[in-house]
Amino acid sequence: MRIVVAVKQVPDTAEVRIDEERGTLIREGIPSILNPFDSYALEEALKWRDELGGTVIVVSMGPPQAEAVLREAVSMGADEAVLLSDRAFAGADTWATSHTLATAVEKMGNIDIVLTGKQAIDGDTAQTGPSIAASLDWPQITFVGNVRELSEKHIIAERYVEDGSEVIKSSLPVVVTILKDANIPRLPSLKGKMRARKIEIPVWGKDDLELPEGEVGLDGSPTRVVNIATPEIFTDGQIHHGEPEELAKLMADSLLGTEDS
Amino acid sequence: MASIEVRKETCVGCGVCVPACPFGAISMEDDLAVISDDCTLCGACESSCSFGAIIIRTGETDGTSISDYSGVMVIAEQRDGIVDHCTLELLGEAKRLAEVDGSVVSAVLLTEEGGEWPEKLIQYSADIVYIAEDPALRHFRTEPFSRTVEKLINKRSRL
Repeated sequence: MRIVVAVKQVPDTAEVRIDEERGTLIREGIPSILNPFDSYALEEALKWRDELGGTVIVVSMGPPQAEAVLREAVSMGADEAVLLSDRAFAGADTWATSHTLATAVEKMGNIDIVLTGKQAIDGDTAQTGPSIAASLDWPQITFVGNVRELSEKHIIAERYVEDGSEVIKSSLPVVVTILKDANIPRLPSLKGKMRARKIEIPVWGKDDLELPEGEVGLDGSPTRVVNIATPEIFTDGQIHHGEPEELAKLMADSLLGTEDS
Repeated sequence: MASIEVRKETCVGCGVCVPACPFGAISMEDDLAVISDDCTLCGACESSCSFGAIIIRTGETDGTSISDYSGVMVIAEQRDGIVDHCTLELLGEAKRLAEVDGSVVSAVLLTEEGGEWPEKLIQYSADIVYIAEDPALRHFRTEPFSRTVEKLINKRSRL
């Protein structure tokens, strides 16, 4: 079984604070981490590799420093890692990103399954996994909370949806996006950490992937981010204490605009 | 290849772009914005600059021009044959979008049996309703649904 896990390096949003005066995010000194949702995809890959044998390859598209999350994945037990990094990849939207990742999956060859987290915590689109499937023309199973069966022939997985779950069977190769319900990610091992320090991570650019300029980065992106804004914080809420009748009257007066009557 | 440039003669060194960058890629050097390699060309600084001093240039793109397409299409979400309320809300939003250039709002219903829903979708301001009825479309599955919609869009690039 050859399993690819596509991961992303994201800012640790738990560490992000807001500059109250300017209303902007303080980004200085914010550590970058492995997208938390991707760690469930990685654990799922490692779990099945441990049972069935095979290889887990982690791949990430990003700036050179994204190598850090690949090393983290290796320390958890991934066998191989590939970094997709090139100035020409800058400004990629989800279409161009998934097209680049899909091309890398094709270049790796004989891949049975591609796993991703359900979404990245910084972009929140949840588009890249499904779009990798579309780009590869493979079937896909999204929002998987439990992989029941996996073999060389097929996968049976439970999709968690609004009102229950759907059990989907698919042939391989397939793209699957994983929810945090699926597992509890393991911690890096000492042996893994030592391997992670030494492992050579190849860097593939657009020429390695034989991709034309018009299909990568900003030039290959049909969508544009035209504005990024920090949500406004409203602090004019009021808290009242008192008897229910008294509070009900206050609320009614406030809703009806009859406060002074 | 796409690139980003700070126009030296236009940049006043106000520094507004520095916190606007989500990636911390801009710093001020000698009252001039300098963009580092961490830049992902997201464009947040370009829109933050009141002086038009930051320019993102894109290269030649091939492929289909978006101007070959028009209209707003709403994919009707159904569960057990009942169209979800969010679809009706989307039709209202689609109408608003379509009014900008006077284009057509269409709804696509993929289901086992459409019943009275096409008419309802018209009542909720769809100009055209496309219905695909097949037992395979009873429950949502990515491939039958996306391929049907893809075929429809390719067949009628002007919807």
